[in-house]
Amino acid sequence: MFGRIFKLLVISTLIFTFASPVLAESVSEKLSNESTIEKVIQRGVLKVGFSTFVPWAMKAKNGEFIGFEIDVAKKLASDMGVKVEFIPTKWSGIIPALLTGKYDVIIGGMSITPKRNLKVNFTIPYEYSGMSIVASKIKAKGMDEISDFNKEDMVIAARLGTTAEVAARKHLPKAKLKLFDSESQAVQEVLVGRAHAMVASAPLPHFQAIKYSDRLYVPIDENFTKEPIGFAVRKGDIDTLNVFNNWIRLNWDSGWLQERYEYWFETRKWEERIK
Amino acid sequence: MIKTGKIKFTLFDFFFLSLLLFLCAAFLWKVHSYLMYDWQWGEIPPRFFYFEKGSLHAGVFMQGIFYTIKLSVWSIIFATILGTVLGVLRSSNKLFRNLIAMTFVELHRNIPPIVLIFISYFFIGDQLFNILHIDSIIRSMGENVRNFTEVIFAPLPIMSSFFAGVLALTVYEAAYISEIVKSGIMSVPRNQVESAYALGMNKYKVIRYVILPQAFRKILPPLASQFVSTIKDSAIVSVIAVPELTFQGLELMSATFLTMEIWIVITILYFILTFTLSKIIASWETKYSY
Repeated sequence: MFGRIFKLLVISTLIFTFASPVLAESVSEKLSNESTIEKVIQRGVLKVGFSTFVPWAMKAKNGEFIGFEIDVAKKLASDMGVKVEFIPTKWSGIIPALLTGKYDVIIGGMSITPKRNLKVNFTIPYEYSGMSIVASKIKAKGMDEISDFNKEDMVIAARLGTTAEVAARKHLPKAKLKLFDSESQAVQEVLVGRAHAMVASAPLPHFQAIKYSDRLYVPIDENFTKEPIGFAVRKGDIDTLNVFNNWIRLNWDSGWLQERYEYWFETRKWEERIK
Repeated sequence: MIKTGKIKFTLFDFFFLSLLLFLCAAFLWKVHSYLMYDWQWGEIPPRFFYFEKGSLHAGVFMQGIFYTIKLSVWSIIFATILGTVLGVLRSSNKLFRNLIAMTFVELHRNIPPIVLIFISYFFIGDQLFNILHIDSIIRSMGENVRNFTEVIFAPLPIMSSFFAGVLALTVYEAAYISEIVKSGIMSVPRNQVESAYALGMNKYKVIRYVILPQAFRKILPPLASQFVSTIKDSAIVSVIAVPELTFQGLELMSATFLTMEIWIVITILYFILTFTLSKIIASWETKYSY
């Protein structure tokens, strides 16, 4: 009885030992078959995760999504010959949802940071964004330097989990930071005077200063940080990264990305599609 | 004094109501001057309905209401079924059945619904979808089937979030409904059951024809308030981006910065939804009472 089991064990060990080179050979093939890009092609649909940020991505009056990211995702999908599906997500849960496979890629104005990079892979930057500040005319009058806000009695509002939060912590370590789930809440906080200023990625602070010109102003014209923005994909998927990286290179060199960026960030022609 | 006949409107009531109105107006004025808010009510109506290329379209609020209703209806249906089964099990005198139901009820009553939603979204929803290949099954079906599932559930991209939301709401509400059902069953006098057995009914028939119809009348009011609760609780599902009323409102706020107007509209819409449901069920109560 035991002899028979022993024999079985030996044979199966031998089989596995000799078979493993064969398995190893197919690993690279298997990897490329299991890459996100392969699944997207088979499905015929690219699923894109994002969160609402004006003017990166937002809902138009007719319920459709519009914005810089939306244009990028649409062109990416059409260049790949697939359809695009947009999956709006809360910003705080955007990375976990990518990791659990709710969508294939985050195209959501996500700045490349070392912390995020430990959890996901980023493509090369397809655009740069920067942090800017908008302050209350009543509570924080006549300031023109970022260091003016770096005081203990200053209250700064920002959106939770964004690089605005990181920038505020880094550049204004002494100020008290108030974090909110959306930018509209943060702006409201400055409007009613519970916070002195709000940090957010440009051009939102400028837009708000124009809208509430009697109560808000932009103390520093230039952005005080420059941040690379990339697509985020699940880790260990070299095929997908390669496709996206080269797509970005192509569209950067052709000037298409810059042209779209100008439309969304430097003009306000799109405003009537929201109102 | 106990109410008899018609309610009288006295001079005192008149003054009291005037005072109340005055206080409300004063409060609103105070809020208005404190917030220094730039009201833009004109932007709200197009979010309900808007004209484009000569035809009328439903705006984001209408879509939001539609999703809130779908979410609530499915959760109420599943929770009522599950809750009834659990309630019957809980009133059983067999230890095993009792323990199973009790574990479920106590577990889900003592976890905040938002935690349940995240658990079902991140851990259960996707696993279930991947194991059952629901995504590819629906994709491979014809256009008609896809449109049908889109109308009664949700479009494919958010199908798994939608089901995660329904699942979380179902187990949460079922835990409460089972308690209501149990108390209803317990309220049926013991001799009714004994007489039914004496008439030769089997166990199923006793439950179906003797216990549940009597329990049903007793539990209708608390059950109704649980249904209303379900509609209110459905707002929490916004955290996993199911496009129901609250999420649509939050998205709209991010895009337009009309914080106050949108919150006020959402408040009114939820009130209309829940108040209508309470009134409908109240009319059933009078119909089914002795």
